[in-house]
Amino acid sequence: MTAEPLLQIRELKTYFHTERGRVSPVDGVSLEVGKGEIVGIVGESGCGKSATAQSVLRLFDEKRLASYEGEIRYGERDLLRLTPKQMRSVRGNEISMIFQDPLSSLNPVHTIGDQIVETLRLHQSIGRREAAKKAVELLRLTGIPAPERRAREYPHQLSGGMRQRVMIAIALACQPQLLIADEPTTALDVTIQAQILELIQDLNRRLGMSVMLITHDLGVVAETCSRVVVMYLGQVVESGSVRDLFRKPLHPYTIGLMRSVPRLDGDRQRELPAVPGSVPPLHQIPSGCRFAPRCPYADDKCRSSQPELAALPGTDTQVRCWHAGRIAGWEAAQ
Amino acid sequence: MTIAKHQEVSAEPLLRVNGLKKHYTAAGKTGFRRSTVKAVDGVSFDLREGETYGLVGESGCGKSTLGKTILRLTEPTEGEAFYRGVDLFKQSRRSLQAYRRELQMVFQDPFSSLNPRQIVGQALEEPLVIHGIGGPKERTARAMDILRTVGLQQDHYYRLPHELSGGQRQRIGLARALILNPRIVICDEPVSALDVIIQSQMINLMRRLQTELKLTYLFIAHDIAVVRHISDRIGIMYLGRLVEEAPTDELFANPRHPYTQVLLSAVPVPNPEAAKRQRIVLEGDLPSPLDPPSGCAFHTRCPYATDRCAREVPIHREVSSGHMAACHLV
Amino acid sequence: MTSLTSLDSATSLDAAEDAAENSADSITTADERSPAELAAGRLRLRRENRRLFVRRFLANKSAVIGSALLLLVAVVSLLAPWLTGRDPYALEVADRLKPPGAEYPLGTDNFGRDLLTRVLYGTRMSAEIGFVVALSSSLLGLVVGLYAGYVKWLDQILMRVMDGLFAFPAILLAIAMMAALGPSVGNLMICLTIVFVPSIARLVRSSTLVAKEQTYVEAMHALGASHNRIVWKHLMPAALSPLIVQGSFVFAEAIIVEAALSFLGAGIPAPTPSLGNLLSDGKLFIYNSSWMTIFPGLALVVVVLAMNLFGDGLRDLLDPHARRAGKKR
Repeated sequence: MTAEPLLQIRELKTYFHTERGRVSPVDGVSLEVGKGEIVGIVGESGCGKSATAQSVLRLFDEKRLASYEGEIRYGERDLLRLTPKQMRSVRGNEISMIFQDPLSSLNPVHTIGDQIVETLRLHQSIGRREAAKKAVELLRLTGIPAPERRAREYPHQLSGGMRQRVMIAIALACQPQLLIADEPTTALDVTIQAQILELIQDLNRRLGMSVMLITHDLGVVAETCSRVVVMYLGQVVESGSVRDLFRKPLHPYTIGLMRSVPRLDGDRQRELPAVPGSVPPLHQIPSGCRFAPRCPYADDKCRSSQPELAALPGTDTQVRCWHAGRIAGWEAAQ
Repeated sequence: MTIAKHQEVSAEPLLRVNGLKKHYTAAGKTGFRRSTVKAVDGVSFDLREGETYGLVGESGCGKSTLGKTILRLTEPTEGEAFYRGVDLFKQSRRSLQAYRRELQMVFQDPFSSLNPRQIVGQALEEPLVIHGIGGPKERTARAMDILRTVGLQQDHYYRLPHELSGGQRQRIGLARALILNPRIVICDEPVSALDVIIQSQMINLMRRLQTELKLTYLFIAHDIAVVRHISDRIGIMYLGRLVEEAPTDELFANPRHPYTQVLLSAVPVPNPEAAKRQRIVLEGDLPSPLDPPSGCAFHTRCPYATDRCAREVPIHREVSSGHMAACHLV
Repeated sequence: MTSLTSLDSATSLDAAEDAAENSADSITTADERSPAELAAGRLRLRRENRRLFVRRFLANKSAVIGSALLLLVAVVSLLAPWLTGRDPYALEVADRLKPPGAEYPLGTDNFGRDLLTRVLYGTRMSAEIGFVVALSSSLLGLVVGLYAGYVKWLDQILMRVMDGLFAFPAILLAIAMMAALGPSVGNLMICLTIVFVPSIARLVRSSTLVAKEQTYVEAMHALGASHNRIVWKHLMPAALSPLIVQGSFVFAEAIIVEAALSFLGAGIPAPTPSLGNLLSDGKLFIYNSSWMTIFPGLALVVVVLAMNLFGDGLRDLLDPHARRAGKKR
């Protein structure tokens, strides 16, 4: 790790208590987000990337539905040991989150400006007028043209890209040290996506804010993140610097994921190399390595016992695979 | 595995769309003045037998409306659509029925495109029932067959949609379109709701089926990388109009319209070393289709716009063999 | 925090449950299983689903109590002629206004008729009216609601008529109609049906308007399905579960309105025993012979409570949103 860690998740397990028994969408996840770093978390839907992010803020209903195990170290504190009240002051104040669908995250009956003012005054003791001024500043910071006018508008009057900028402005209101962005550009068009990603990178550079970027798009990760964590079925299967991971992916799942993306420079005439099958449901988790049933290299060992996430000597890459060192060679031989 | 380029693509179009317009009237902001949304505003293109024509554009550009209008799921305002010499837009509801068998559609949303209360088998047999094909036994046999064709198993016949994954549902959507042996399949964002791995499985399947079943696809999508992979020719739409059209390789080697160039540069590339390339980030949003810009609709966001662009609508013309573009500057 | 207050933690729970419910396994692409194995697997799936439904049903207190009471009401209604062996119309002048005792478990009325028998027959009559009214107004409301929701120009006509009916309070409308038609059981059923159609039609229409916009309906158009096929095969099933729930409430409501009308003398003509008539008879003697009001009143409470609890439970079981709330318990 080059940067000093801001958030350290250790062996996090999140349980959901459902009618068909207990499932764990997050099953022993360990990862770190350094100060001023953008970390990408990638995987298919059902891999637990969103559940991990929401667990960090403890957004699941703990009374009836969910329970947590492990440790989420943020600065001096373990977020899982905080009281609900303490947790509320962390949310939005020190760690903010933005979501995929900005329309449903905004209150349709209040103006954009009022919603930012509300957030500001919730966490800071400042006057209404001062807060209003700050709200306009925040809108300007997120690149919204004519922020004074926009502050008086309602969410439905804005386009999808503008709404996501507003969400980011609200998230930035209390100058959080960590922004969790859960698929922030998935609902947006590519040209607008490019704008929002540019904005997130810019804020990261200018404010030194750490970002945990959850996405299914490897292209987005390659262009914005410095480190990446790949998840499969509630576990981290590989993590490392973006450059290493994209140059030389080690886990067969990462390899499959990367190959199945249609590229602008790939061979059009070839079939896309697809990983067979689909992510199994949480209550049918395979024994042994969870990826074994879909893995072209799986052997008896893979099917019977589960590999641990282990660092590869001499790198900061970690892989959860029995054959991590050899896969690259096998791939090359093909 | 390399797929040899499918079947012969004939020069004669199977479907010729000419000057298609679809306008909606919407109540104005005050509620009194009615204004017109030109969702599709004069689009012409050919669909040749055996090819895949990719239609790309951002949300709100009218690409989905275009697909639905061809099938008359919504009535066109103006224009013609000749399928094998017959104008589909002039047919009565009854005589259209015969053509519906040959022009089918696959929808984007695998969650809402299947009736949640119908088992897969019923959903697949429904087209056969509607068109009065075969008896109950034969229909079941055909449904079982088509399940295998799209890579599913027989026991999926008895499943309800909510028991299936997104990818499986989308295969059912494809199977339902294919069970009538259509010649043209209009695919409206068929893979954009799917995860990458499932998406690539689906694209491979669609390409394989195109060769096996001699299908012609109109492939509508916003993801230009996906479209590139499956299409022979591509049309780019912006605010209801085609701005560029070219064979796939030509379009990528030689994008002529500034909007196409922007679109290509905005696609994130999964390669961090190449990521530091120059990206053209557009200013602003898509203009409201209620109040489209004068002249060239793209001039408000175009980095190269001149005075002329604001005044004159550019003509969609051939700039080189088979390559059309609507821009004053090319 | 606007972003957090509006957050619905159920979103990702849904995803997790979706995944959990997805029992499909597509890794084996080749289908090597025999038809017998397929059938066995199917059966297992059905049994599993049934087991889950039973468990959900048993966990739902109102559904359990409601169904138990309903069963009781049904048995009483069906067996009324045999339960006491007495004639509800038989006058026993010597035994007028007898308090509850060994011979007459619930006492007798002012004509010396056995109150238990009359309450049983009254319950039967009320249940019959409730059932017929719920059924006929559901059917009528279904047709009106489906076509109003599906056909735009019909919507204007049908729903304005429904609004007109809706504008009157149910009892007032029923009294007016009964006055016009004349008192009889058949007329009462017709009246109540007309009174309750608008609420059902409105409900069906709203669910039709939602279902109509679903892509699967568009897909049916693309396949060339006829309008009637779309309405009855695809839109009707979507309206069915709210309809059943609403129907059970109409059942209860109809019984109350019937009792009110009979109490006011605008309902079922005496001496036919109906719960409303019994209450009406009892009101003159309420100080000295309170059993004449108490027992029919209790019967009314039980029948209406049964239907309401049953309807509530049904809604929890059929409505996906309420279902989730039930699951968290």
